[in-house]
Amino acid sequence: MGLFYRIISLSIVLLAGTVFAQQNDSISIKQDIDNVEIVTSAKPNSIKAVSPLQVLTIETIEKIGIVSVSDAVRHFTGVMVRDYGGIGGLKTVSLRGFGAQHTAVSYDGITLNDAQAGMIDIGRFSLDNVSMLTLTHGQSDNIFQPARNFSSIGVLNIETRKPLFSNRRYEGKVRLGTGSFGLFTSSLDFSYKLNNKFALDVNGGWQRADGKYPYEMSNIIQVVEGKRINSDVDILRTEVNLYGNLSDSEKLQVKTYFYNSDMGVPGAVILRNPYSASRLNNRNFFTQIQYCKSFTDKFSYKPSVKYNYDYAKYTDDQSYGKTKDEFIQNELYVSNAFLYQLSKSFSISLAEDLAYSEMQNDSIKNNILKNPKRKTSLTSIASKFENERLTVTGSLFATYSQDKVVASQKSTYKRITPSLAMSYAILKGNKLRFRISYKDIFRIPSMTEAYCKQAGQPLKPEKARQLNTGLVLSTRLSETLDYLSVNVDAYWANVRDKIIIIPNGVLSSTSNKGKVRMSGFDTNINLNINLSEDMRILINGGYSFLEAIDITGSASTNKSYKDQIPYTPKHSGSASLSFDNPWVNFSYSLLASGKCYAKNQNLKENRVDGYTDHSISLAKELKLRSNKVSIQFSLLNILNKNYQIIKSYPMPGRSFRVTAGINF
Amino acid sequence: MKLKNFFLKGMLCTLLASGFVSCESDDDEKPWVEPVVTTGAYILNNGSWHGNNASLSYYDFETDQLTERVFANVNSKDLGDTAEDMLIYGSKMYITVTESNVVFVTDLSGKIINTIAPLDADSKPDLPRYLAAAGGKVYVTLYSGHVARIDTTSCNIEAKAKVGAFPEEIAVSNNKLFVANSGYGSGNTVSVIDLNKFEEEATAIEVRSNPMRIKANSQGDVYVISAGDFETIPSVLQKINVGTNKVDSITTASKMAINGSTIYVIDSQYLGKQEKTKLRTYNMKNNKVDDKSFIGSDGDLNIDEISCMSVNPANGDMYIFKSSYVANGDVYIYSSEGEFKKRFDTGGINPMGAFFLTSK
Repeated sequence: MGLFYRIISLSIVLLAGTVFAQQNDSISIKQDIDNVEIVTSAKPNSIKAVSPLQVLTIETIEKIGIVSVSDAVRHFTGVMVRDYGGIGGLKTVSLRGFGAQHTAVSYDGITLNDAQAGMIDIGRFSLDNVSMLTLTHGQSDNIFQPARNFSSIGVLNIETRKPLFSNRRYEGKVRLGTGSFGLFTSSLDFSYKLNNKFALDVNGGWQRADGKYPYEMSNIIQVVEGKRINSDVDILRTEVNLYGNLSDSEKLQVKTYFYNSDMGVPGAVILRNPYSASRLNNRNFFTQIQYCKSFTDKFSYKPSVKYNYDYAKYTDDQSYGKTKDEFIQNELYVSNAFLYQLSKSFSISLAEDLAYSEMQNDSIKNNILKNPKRKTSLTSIASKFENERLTVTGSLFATYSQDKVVASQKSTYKRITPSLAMSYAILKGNKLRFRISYKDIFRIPSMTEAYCKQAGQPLKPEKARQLNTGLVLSTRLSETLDYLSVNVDAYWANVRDKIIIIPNGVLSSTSNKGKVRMSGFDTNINLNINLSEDMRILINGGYSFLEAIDITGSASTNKSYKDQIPYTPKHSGSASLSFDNPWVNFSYSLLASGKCYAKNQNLKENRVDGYTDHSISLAKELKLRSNKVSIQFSLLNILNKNYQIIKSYPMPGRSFRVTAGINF
Repeated sequence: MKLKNFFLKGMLCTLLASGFVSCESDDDEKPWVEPVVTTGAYILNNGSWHGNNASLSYYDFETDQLTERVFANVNSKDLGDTAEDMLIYGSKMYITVTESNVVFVTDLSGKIINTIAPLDADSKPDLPRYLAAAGGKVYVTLYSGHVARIDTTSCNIEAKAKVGAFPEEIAVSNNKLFVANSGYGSGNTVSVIDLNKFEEEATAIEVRSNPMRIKANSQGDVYVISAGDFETIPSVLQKINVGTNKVDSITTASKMAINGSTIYVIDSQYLGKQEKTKLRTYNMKNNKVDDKSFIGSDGDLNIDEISCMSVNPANGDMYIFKSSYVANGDVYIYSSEGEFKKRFDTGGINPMGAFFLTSK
């Protein structure tokens, strides 16, 4: 994207910041501004949750020295982040062996949707304005949400930072950073309290990198050395939020988001052919409005509207010519959610979502995929009983979706699925809770799956089912060990009607013949150690075991029968330790994974070796008048291993990052 | 006695006379089948696209064993990404590995003699596709729109000739090269190159849309399969009459294998949806199509899953391949009469065919 455009966007954000920052504190003293929180975001309670719920706040993320949203998500259990390497590489989230298309991703309460590919690239989010990441395996406790938030077997929620306005009318932060491989990052966040009811927040970030990292990659028997080329990235993101606290019972949030990236697409490392010239320009714009009103103390209404525009352009320059492929998606989404509180413990909700997606793929030769349209209606009816000891939720989810591709071709998907969950306090005070949940859900084929040339018509939705049981312990052991939580969750799940490729004459076709069976367990531990008033140690750890096997057909027809499915390691885990003290905060983090296989058959030539990724970080915070100055240094992948998560995509070796910032 | 002599002389004369008559008609026809002995078959596995997992297996007829990954074992190097074609010519073998942009020249055990990485004038990879040989030279088509000539002594490219867009298979007939210009689906010509001039002739031969497969028989006739557009235009086998360059359509077909005077046809059509696969044969001597399948129903091979085939020139054994893009392929071996003999896992993903090693 043009330098000119980029400068203008960043200038607007900076200008807004400087104008307001120049006003001195006397204004806030003169005017009688209520110290009312305009926006509240509650941290969800992972102890009481009926389904496994993991939370990472930005404070913890920064303490551990994590530098990206995808690295943070890798610290959750029951998660496989398919990372194609580098800053710009595609990163998708697969939960418990279901595949990335079964994971819903929501941004400040409203889900993102990609009807073309069916999965979300979390590589495009930055930690700059994130306040919290939560991951739910199963159904969320909060039944008052848009219906689409319940449409997947698991959800990753990204919550952005809301202004607190502790003693001023404005607040903000500036961050600048640099690092290995030509990395430069910058971000600015500025919030201003317009009046008692409204606050405006403007934030944005720009980062660029060369991405030319050296690697040593193990192929099947050879070790290949080289330097990643065509890996540069240039990413700009801006967001404007308007928060309204209209009354005690009325809240409003309006958000406008713009993202633009220009990057090289290095592709896989191909033996003996280092040439790479594929480029990607990605533009995403969306605006979302969410309003919530409580009419009486029993009845609440939450409507949401979102418009999303996505543009992707791939270009390539090969010996046979130059190519250009453009993909455009437009979506209009409306949700109406209602909550009725029958009593203090019992509530029911109804949510109805409508979505209309339209795609434009002029460069695709297949006429069918040129301009497909999809209409979807999602309905959720849920009920919840909650007191101090027992929480029970139950819901029914109904989908009706219709595709229109060419005039003659229409596909319809309809299904109703249930979910039921419970959490019970075995010991009072939530010291020990038992939970059990069952969710039956499905996913509609993505446009690419349903209408690519090889699609076996018609494709059915993929069905997914999960039963989870778990124990959660949370307690205070002593004044020093003032917080300990441990959870163990065991689960059994399967996918039926899985969309797979089967050999079939000239063009192998896709069909719903696949079946996968999963069983596993996740365990997490969090421990706070208070050494003294200003010295603390935080320890987090997680381990996942997952057996996800291919049970398509039978042993005589399927060469990978009972083999572990691709890119699903049996063992994976993470750990982190952070030591807060008045001098320099120190942290260490570890990501580890056992081996997995790149293709269906668990053969030696398909194996992707396991890895350990160690990182350390040092941080210092100073108070400068009423502002906070911070500096952080991180050393990532200390052992300098170019491990692979996706075969033939080596990860960067040892690298560093330095970030400095001011919070005002 | 006089009558017997006359009779004998008469017979001698007629014998001599008939001798002359038969010599004249034998001069024009080359033999349809050359006797040859084969000792084994290499099976080339394409691998998965951008998976760096192409491989070469060897089926030894004497030990009746298939050994996997022979290239990797002999060279301690992986074959690369997307191996497309192989040619055994003289005492050397030539393997094209398209996405790795390499033509390997190896000895008959697979050991590398030379690695050729063709680049165009702007240093972009030429991407080699298919091979053919004649007169001590090996010719390889390049996706950049060229044919390269490799000298079999220096084992290097010595010249390039421009052809149409996205050329695929290449055949030699009557001192000329015939190149199928697929155009990545939008092409419809076959380029002709004289071996001495090594330059594309001004007029290319027009064929049906998307020509991909091209082979010559022992008589110098050239056969082309144009794959169509997978929507309304079917995949068709055509014959190019080499003298006139006139093109005749013979039958619908997607893949072919030539042995002696027979073309074995695999007819798997995708026209908006996948049709059932049919097998048939075409007799090149009398121009007749026989719709009877050339293999029996034993060996539990699902005909719809056949991807390609090769024929052993020594005994007419048919090697029928089943290709899965996610798991290793299979080869089903049938006798020339169509009787099932045995089956192997090909040791790699997406087998491209069998290439027979002949003994001298």
